[in-house]
Amino acid sequence: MDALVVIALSVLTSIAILVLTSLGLAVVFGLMRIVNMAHGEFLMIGAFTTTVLVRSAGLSIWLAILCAPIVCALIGAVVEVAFIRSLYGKRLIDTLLVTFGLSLILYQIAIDIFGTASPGIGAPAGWVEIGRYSVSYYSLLLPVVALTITAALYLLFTRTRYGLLARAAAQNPEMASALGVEVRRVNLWTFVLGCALAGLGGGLLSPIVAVSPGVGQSYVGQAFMTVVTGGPAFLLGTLTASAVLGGVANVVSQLFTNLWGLTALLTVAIILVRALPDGLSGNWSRQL
Amino acid sequence: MAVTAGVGRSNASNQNLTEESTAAPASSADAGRRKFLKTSAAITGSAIVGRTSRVFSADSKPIHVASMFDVTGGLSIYGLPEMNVSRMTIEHINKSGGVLGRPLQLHEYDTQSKIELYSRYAQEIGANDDIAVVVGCITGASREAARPVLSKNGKLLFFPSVDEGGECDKYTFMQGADCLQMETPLVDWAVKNAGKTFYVVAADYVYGHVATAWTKSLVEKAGGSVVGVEFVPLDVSDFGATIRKIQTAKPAVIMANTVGGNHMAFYRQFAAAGLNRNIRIVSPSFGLGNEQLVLAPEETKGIVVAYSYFESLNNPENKAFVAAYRKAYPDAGPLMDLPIQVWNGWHQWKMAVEKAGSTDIDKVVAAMESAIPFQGPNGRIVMDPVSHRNIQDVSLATVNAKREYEILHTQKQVLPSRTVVGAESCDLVGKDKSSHKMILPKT
Repeated sequence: MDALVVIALSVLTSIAILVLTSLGLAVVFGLMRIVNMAHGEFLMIGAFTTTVLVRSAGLSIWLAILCAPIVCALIGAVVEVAFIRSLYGKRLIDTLLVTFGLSLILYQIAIDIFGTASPGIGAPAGWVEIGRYSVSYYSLLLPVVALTITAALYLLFTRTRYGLLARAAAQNPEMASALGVEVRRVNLWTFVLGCALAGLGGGLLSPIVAVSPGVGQSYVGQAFMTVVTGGPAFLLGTLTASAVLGGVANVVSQLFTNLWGLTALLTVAIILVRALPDGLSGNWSRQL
Repeated sequence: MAVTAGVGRSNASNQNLTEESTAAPASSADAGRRKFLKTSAAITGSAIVGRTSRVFSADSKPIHVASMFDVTGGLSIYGLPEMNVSRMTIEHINKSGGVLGRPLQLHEYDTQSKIELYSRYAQEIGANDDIAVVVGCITGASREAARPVLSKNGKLLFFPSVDEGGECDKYTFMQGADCLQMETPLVDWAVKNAGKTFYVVAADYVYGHVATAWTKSLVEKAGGSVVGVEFVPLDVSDFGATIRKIQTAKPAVIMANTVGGNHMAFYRQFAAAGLNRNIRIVSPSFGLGNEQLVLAPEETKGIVVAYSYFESLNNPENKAFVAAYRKAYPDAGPLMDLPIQVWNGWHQWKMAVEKAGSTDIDKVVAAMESAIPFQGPNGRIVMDPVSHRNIQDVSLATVNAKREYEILHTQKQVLPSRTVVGAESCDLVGKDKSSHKMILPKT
């Protein structure tokens, strides 16, 4: 009985990790159609920000996690103005190449600054006993945080003026600017938001993975898969796709081995994209 | 893009080395992107650098040698120090007179943590008539990608990593300790000090599988039992399911054969769930990537490892080696077993060539098999001709609260295995003297 509870919690944690590492990409790629190959590097920057602030500046881990999106937002702003600005609406391959180069640069800068093995931080808050199992509090916190962030983003994009403008500018920039929307400024904010979300995901992950310059790269593939499978509703579609893919991967890993879990995730993704080429949210009425 | 970047950086660090060495290693594009752009210039433009070493004397031609390591990518935690030590060793050998009076010229190949690059560069080295020997490869999988190509083309391969055994190739020499040399003391220690039930967490490729076969056989011999086995692919970092299964099985000891940066998350998540209070971890692979630095002290305290080399070993060769390494690479992390075996490998080859009087591959192999002892930073090593593995000292150590290794005890001159667990033996001076194969265990 306690095994079932622990498995269910573990599934929630896996889904949460997928959500947290994909939300940034959902905004940048799902909404704005910028193929951001540097998404993994923004995760990595967020993770390093948190780690360095805790280790060197002695900040509390929660404060350090909150600083991660700020740092990534600043870097994202620079990146947007310097590289991405001229690429909206162009071919996907252009954005892919530019962000690919950017990811190589950021990765190498990180190696030069931090080396390949730099001290990390452990998970805070201890563990809780459930029957004869023990589960870390932090892994229970992640699903709560993921849900909160998604809810906040939903409110941002549906209830605020910025949210309305952002969606308009992304979906039909010419019409939006004809109506007086400052498309360039709005797109800058949206890109910065996407980078900040990636940084926040990285910061939240940093106490449970080994933070090194390559840490983001193993999440990029799954993030793209999740966003693409999710479909045009970039928020709720990504959430649903995370639930399906993350849930399947974890359950299969519990029953068999990690390799089968990964295989199951990929198989389900293939089936979903084949069966629903527009994504899970392809024919939802609410495209958010 | 990647070509010029790689070559430019490598040339820069070459100049640094010939003056006052700095920590700038030769690095080029990272590996993770290859999944997305298979045809990009990044693949074709990896850093192939022909080093121009100092001119030795006006008329002595250099001997060409090569090193293949994953200097970038997920395995760069191992590959970068190994390539640096390779370079440093060649410099050192050249400074003390070269080999047979000729200088060595090192060709460096960065395989970027991609197996297919090992095959490709092995082909290139194989087609290059000048190159006499390769010290390279990190994982067993990469060795198996390169070895058949290299030995078919008559190139010697020295493999510096700890590994799982099973190699039976006349042209390959294994520097690092094997499963028998490392897991035997670990299992014996665990059964005496922690408990008799083992749970195995291993990387999901040839090393993990063979090491697990060894673990099962050694645990059984020591009177214990294996209550569960989990194979984890190299790019997985979410260990929630694994940790839940460990708690169901309730072992006393975890035998952790984890490899690479992503697997470090296991120790972190294990400690986060509070499991490191009651369950001991023993590992023949922990620490090779300086895991004890990346992880916090609460997460690594009490982990027991077994290696031939620890930086704190107290002998004159080690002191000299460490001093030279720190001078050349002041920003490098702690030294672990793998780079030391690179140093040993080059020196063992040098001694064999000087005994044979030539770089002809069969003469060098015969000289290697005459078991010339060498005093390396990890003590006395001598090649066992039957298995082509080194007889070396093995020490058990544990990580303390200050992230350092405390040596528990040292076993001198441990014999490597000549048999593959559950399968046949390998006798490279007897029945297998023209063999070029790998024997896999029957699990």
